[in-house]
Amino acid sequence: MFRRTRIVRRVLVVGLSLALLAGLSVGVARAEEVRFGVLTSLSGPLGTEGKPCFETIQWTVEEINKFGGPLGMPIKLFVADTATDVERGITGARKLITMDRVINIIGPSSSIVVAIMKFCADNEVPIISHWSGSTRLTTSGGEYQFRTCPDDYFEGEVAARFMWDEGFRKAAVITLDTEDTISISDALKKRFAAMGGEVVVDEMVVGGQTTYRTAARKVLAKRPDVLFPAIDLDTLKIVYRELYEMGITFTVVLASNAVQQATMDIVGADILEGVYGEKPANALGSPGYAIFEQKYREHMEDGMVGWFTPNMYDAVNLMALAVEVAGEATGKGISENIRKVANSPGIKVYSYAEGLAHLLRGHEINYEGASGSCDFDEFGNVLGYARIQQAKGGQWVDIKFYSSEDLAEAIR
Amino acid sequence: MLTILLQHTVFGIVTGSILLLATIGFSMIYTTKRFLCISHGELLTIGAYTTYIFHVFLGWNLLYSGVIGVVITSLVGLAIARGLYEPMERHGPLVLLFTSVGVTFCLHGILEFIAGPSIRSFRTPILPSIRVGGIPLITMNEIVIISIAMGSIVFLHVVLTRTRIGKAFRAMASNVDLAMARGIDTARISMFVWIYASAMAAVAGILLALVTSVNPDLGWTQILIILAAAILGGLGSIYGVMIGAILLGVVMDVGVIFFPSGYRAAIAFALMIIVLLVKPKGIFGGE
Repeated sequence: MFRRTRIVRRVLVVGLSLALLAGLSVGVARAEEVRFGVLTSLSGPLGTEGKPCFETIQWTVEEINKFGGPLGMPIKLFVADTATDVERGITGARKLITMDRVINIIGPSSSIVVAIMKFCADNEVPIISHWSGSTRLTTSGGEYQFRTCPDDYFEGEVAARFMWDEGFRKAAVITLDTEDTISISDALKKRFAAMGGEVVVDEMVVGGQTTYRTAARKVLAKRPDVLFPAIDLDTLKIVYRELYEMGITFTVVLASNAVQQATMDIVGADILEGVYGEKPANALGSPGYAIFEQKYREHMEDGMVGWFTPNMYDAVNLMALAVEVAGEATGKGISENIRKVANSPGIKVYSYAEGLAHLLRGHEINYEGASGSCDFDEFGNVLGYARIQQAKGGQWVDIKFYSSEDLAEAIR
Repeated sequence: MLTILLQHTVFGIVTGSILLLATIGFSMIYTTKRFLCISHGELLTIGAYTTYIFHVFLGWNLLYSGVIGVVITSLVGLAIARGLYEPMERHGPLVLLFTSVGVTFCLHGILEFIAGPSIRSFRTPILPSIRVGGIPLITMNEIVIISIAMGSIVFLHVVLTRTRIGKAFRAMASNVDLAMARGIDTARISMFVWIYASAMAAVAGILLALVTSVNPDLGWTQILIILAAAILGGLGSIYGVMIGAILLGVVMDVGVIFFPSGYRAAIAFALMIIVLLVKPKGIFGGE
């Protein structure tokens, strides 16, 4: 009996020692790397756009790691695909934070940001999104939630202004019932009405249906000057085809969600010819954009800069620079220091390398990115750029460009 | 209002035609195997993707690609039945039901993994609707869909009433033990059912993708509607589910005149509940 107890004790001691050693070794491994969490759409409705954004994170991190990484430690990426689905986004965030012990979350879309922001704040893990424009985040972030794309209000303003300037006075709006699309649609309706326009049809639709004929019929019956479908690509494929079959007699301006290169293949370039689309733009012509564009072409097979990739590039650089300034690889450190690298005062820097060089010399920096100036307001928002594009010969061609300065009055 | 009703009724018939093709196989499996084969919906997706591969990647004509897609899906359906369902048959319908739920999740996951993020569509021209009295009523694609569904009904009717295998199927559906006692090769009939049901699912998937898009959720979102159509028509009644599917399609699409399109599924299930309250065995009272 005594002998058995002794054996059990020995086994326990050896087991606990091994567990302790294993724990220490994991701890050491964690201390030697900076754990970045990527929670983004690699599949689902935003998957097509999400892929180049994800590749951009990978090469941006590679570039940062070439300089030793923040605080001399390489960044290690932990990835979870949201499939552009809220439930999967929540599961992914839980896994990244509790199991992978990441210090930040990069890349979720609007509906997922809204769903996980409290959980992330409770765990002191900042979120930075390159494409969450939802107006629900306009006054709700700031401490643990940031974004490098402009608010949807900006997109709504741009679309409304373009429609008004083109002489359209009666608009029909079809809105998909998701966070992102409702947000843009609401902004457009509000701004178009404020300009004196009339929304003659305001139809909400649910995704995943095999037909949207009711919505199409209502739009056709009211004979609007212009239709603004704030819907994703999946839904546009059916809605636009049904409208086309029934006979489109008005101009169409697509909300950014469905303005993708894939739209031409999915819906059909021939039937989309002449259709307009609004889309966030970048700081074209700025030093930050020029540096980004060169790097992008070096790393990506398809040299055409993907939508939201500059915003993603800026998000990663800002996070890495914030860790450097914080002096510790923690979410709290990032949260408290990200404005110190993004906002003025400070020497304007246009890349991670430049920023790091100044920080090592003890200078204050002001990161000016490829997507824009990246100056966070108290709620973690940035101002930005937007453009109107038109489908011509199977391509989206820029026809009008709006900067935050152009719309500053309206945005205020 | 009459115009609107007419337009929605026509599209309801289109929806019902696709549903009919998907539900026939589901009902045939239930009739002979006595379990709800939930994984049937995933065969719609497999049919659409295999066709897409031949049509878009290899550049084949859509018709030939569709035929290959149907053949491959039939073989996949048969392989799943032989490998998973038939060994489980001795454990009863509940175990088979849960196995089919598991198969559904596995197939859906595999399809998502292989197919990747992109939404895809067949390369078919989009043409304006044919107008009748100035009303855009129906497109060529929709005429093709209705024709294929009607052709399938006639074909199945001929098979069931004029061929030995059809008669054997009906005998087996009526009483398996008696059919075996009379020397009917039930294993051969089972094989016929799995192949035919999978083929019909593939055709339904291809046609559904033609009017929507090719995506991993194609069949996933249809299985509950298939179940509703089968129950509405009368589980076990092949002809009943045909009527049930068309009826459900029309009611769903006419219903969206009065309710938002997001409530299509709710309309389907409300109709199913109302029918079950009046006729618990479905309209044509199979089981």
